[in-house]
Amino acid sequence: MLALIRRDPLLGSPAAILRVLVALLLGTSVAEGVRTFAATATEGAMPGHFANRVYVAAALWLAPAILLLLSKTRERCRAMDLALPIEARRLWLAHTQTIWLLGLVLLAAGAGVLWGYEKIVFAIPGKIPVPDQNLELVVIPLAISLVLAVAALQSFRPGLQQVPADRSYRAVVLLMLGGGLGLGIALSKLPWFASLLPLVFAIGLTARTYHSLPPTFATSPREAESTSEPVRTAGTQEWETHAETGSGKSHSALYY
Amino acid sequence: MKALEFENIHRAYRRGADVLKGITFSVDAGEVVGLVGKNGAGKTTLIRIAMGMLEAQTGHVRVLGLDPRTDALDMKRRVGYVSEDQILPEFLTVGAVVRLHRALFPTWDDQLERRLRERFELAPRARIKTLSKGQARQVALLCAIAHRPEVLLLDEPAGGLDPAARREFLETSIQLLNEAGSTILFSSHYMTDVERMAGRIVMIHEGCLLLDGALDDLREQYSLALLPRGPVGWHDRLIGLSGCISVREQSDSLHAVFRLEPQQCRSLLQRELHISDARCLSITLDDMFVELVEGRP
Repeated sequence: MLALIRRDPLLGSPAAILRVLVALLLGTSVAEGVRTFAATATEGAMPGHFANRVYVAAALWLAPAILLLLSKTRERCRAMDLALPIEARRLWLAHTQTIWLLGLVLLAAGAGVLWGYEKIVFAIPGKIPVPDQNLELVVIPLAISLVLAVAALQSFRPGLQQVPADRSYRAVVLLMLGGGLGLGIALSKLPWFASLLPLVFAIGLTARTYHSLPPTFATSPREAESTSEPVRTAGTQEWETHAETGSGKSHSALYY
Repeated sequence: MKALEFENIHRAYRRGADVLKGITFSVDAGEVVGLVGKNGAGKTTLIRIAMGMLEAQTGHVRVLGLDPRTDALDMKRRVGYVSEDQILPEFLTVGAVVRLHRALFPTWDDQLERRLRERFELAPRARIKTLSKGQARQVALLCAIAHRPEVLLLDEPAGGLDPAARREFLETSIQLLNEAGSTILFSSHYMTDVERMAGRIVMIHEGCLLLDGALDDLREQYSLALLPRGPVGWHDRLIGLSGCISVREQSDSLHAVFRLEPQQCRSLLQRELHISDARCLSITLDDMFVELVEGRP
């Protein structure tokens, strides 16, 4: 499994990972800068505690969102893998695990940036009255939301090697991103054991999709749809009348 | 024994746009078959159906007696596949790609692998991204044939390569698999490659089987008649003649393909249409392709 993760299309694109990391640094820094600026301008009279938590959660969610929107999460394996005797479910699981791994790393990195920012800001003499980030309350629920969002997203047309970036896929991604953020914020307000429910659901969904996968991926969206009887065109018959059958020549009779 | 069987294969990517319209043919074990046709004729779709990457909407496919979709793993262990758009992971080394394949194929032949690496001069530590297009294709070929596949499916394998690299690639494929008596189905635009490699050709056009025959039979039993443009209605009279497969109008002449030897073709034209100045020639694969495929609407 580790070998499959190592050559997952997502990790095989260092440029994409770099873009996400740069966006992560910029995004979270700007978000925290805005929060600090707002706190300074209002001399600590920030909106309520909950609004502050929503803001911090959204800033943290930014990097995983970019990962799901812009990187190769749609490509479940390399084209080369389709010719190899590897079960589609193993490739699918490796890809899902790769997205989880990368998403959680980005979430942790985002939290690290915010934490570092808070330490710097709080270290300034004459402390700016920025409301507490409450990272410890937000990070774990967001991580669980991310696990569920990725599981749900990977369960969309799971039999395809690459999901086309059509309207329905984009709608599902946006739904997962919005829903994931909302769920994370909601979970941060609930007792810790409430987070177990979406986690169990994510595991169940992953197991269900894993077991439902065919032995091999398909490369066309039509595979997942119902098959219809194709129309035989008039030309078909005409061509077929010209088709001749003939016996082939074996290797021994080949010439160069 | 049949190595490949396609029976009434239909396939469309969207409603009303059939890519394959009832293709039926089979390939015996040990045969080398060239699949030819214009861009969009359905060659790649057919090969992908054989590899289980696509499913036929109607009809049946069997590769070594196995269903490529339901028996995918068993089938892929016994099949080699190279395509023009097959991209190896750029960050991996040649050695890593080979190791990956070796672990997946129980029949991997280390000696053959070594022989191929030496022949292609592939350094195990070289990264795929540093290789030329031809070398990368050679790595793909090495991986496709070092496990001694019973069937090799090549989808435009030499597309985009220069003539020397193309020749080397194809000759290696044939020479090595010839030793083991593997079955090969390969698609190509290059008629010279087909003539060099194949014993039989299957020509498809707009998703339909247009021609299927042994290459020697095509050379011996088909002819091309070049006629001056005659009065109105000649086109229809020609196509109505027994053995006439196609008629194509050129600016000042008519080209007709007959399933007859040139001498028989000449006699037929003289007897039925009283044409004495027709030139009847043995047909080349190139001509056959152009007359049957390019000339069609």
